[in-house]
Amino acid sequence: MKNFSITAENIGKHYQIKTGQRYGTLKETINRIINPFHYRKKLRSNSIDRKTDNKIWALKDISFTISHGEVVGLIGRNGAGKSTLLKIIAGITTPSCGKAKVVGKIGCLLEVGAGFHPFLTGRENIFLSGSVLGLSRVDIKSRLDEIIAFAEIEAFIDTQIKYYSSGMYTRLAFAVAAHMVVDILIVDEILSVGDIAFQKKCLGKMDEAASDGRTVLFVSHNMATIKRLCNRGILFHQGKMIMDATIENIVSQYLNNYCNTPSQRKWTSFEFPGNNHVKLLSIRAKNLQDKTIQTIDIQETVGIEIIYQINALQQWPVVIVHFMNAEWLHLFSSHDYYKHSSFIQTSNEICETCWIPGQLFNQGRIFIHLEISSLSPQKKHVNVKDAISFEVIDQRCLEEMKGPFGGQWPGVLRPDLKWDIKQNKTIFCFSQ
Amino acid sequence: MKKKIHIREPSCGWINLNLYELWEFRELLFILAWRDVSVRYKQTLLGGLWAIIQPFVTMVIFSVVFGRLAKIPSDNIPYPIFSYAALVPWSFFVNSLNKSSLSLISNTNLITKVYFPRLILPFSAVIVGIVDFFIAFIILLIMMIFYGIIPTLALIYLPFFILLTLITSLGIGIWIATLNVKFYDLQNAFPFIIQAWMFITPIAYPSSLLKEPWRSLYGLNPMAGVVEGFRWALLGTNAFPGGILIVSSVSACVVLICGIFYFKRVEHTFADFL
Repeated sequence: MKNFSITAENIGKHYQIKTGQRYGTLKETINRIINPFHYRKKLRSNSIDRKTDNKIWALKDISFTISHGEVVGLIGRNGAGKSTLLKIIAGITTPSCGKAKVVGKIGCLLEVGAGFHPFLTGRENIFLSGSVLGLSRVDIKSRLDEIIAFAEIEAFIDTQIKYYSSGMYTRLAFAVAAHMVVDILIVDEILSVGDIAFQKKCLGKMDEAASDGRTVLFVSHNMATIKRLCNRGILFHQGKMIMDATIENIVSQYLNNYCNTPSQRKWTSFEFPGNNHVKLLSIRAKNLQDKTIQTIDIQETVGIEIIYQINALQQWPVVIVHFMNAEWLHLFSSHDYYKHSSFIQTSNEICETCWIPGQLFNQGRIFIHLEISSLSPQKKHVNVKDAISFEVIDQRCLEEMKGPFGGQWPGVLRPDLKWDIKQNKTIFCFSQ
Repeated sequence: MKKKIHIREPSCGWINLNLYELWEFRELLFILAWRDVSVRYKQTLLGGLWAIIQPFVTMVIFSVVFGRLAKIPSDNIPYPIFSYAALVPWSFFVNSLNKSSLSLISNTNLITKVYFPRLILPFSAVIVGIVDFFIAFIILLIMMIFYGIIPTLALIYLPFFILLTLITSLGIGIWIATLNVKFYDLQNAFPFIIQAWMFITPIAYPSSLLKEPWRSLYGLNPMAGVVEGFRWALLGTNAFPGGILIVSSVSACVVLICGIFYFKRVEHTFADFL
């Protein structure tokens, strides 16, 4: 294949874990030189085999080909190996095995403001950061005005950047980076800086880069952004490549199976949360069609289904579901105290579902804490924090990111409320 | 347009030095050096004066202690200028070592986030010192006028000795920068090493105290050659210190070349170690 931009063949990277003494201290090295036999014996007696046991594979068996002009999103949890891969491709670190070929000039944005120095002025830092990123002096000079305008800091360009606000700092940093002339752009989770207007500007710049036929490798935890920018995705988990497919497939696969809290939990018989009276068997989030869901549209109704067992209880226990958002803000709670109609029958499996109407949650991840308690005497039987979670998304929002309602609607909830709109007869007339 | 293909693979054995890449990044080299110079002048009150204060005060102390009290011979040259002519390249050497020893550690954020030939960092650390060197050198010229010393024809060799100073500083600087990444202990030993080195270099005394062939062997310390060379070129000390100069030049080049190879050999581990 002639037209590739990046190929990787079985790339792997491992790190040694240091056991006990720090590997590589002067003391240890001198010991090793003076007395190699003793050193080796000591190693053996500790039954540590450095060759096998102490390696952590940050990346293993990574192979892919990215052709010219593709925009690829790398998705995975923290520590999945995305950044390590980017560093290998950028040449910052070498792989432990395997081989990668990269065609053309690489622009690498792993950090905003690489090389910035607080004592220099904005203008001086543009030159500094520009040459660190591989721009030539002539290039920077010819784009200087463009960069300053993009960063929106015309008034402060000759001020030392230690006096800048963090927003100004990041804007300047990204402005320099955005004006790199490269064939391959590597971007690691840096678009999440700045205010919304600036973020949009950056996204626009990235779009431009992509439509110019540059190859873009993009890492972000913002699924909406990644979906909008990329057309192909690669999913990483614990250093391995799980999937290489279209971005839609990758995002849903990731949200469903690799996000920290699943949307469904079942416990096996030995580890049921609870006590002798109440045992929690499972909990899941489902939609109206009784399908377990990980992602739900903002319009749709969500059900939280709880299955538990009770034993030797005189009264119905109260099931309480607490809803939290991603910032761990307690949104609201719901309980079933007034909902029980029948008498209690012991040793039964009970299945309850709490329905939350559509148009109530705002966009984002919702986390659920579950509590099952008796009131008299008061006793908590089950208390599971962070039991399940699901993602509420606005499908329309993905399509209309650029529109007037783009981005997140403010507020923690987003209820659909009733509005009365009347037209009264005008008493005043506007001047004609 | 032919595009360059970069290969990423595990480094092994003897690598090619890829010095051309260093040339491609020359702008970065100078801009990093310029950054350090300009930051220094913005940060410190006295700025360039420090370049003079350090060797000058040392010279005064030496003149009093070694010149007056200990009456150490100085090849028939007034002791102050005898020691100052040696202290100019010596302070350049010490400053370069100080800066390059920290050059990799203090630029961690660059090394772990951006790709460029890492050799640029110790190089630029040494280049920064050149500004200070020339400031201190001007004082040396003023002192020569003051003592009425007229340089001999040997002056035309001065650029060679400046180059030798650069090579020595670079060579040792690269070694120390590299070792400093791996062995943090070195940071503690460093001031002591410098101090000891100062006394095994003929700064406070002339190398003519030694008989041949020991004097030539003394050149294994490349700074000995540098210092004697400076004195010979500028002050016209009695005889051309041939043996010591040849030995010093060779040893400086060997140190530099080995240093670059060693640096390149372990370069790829910096991002992981820092």
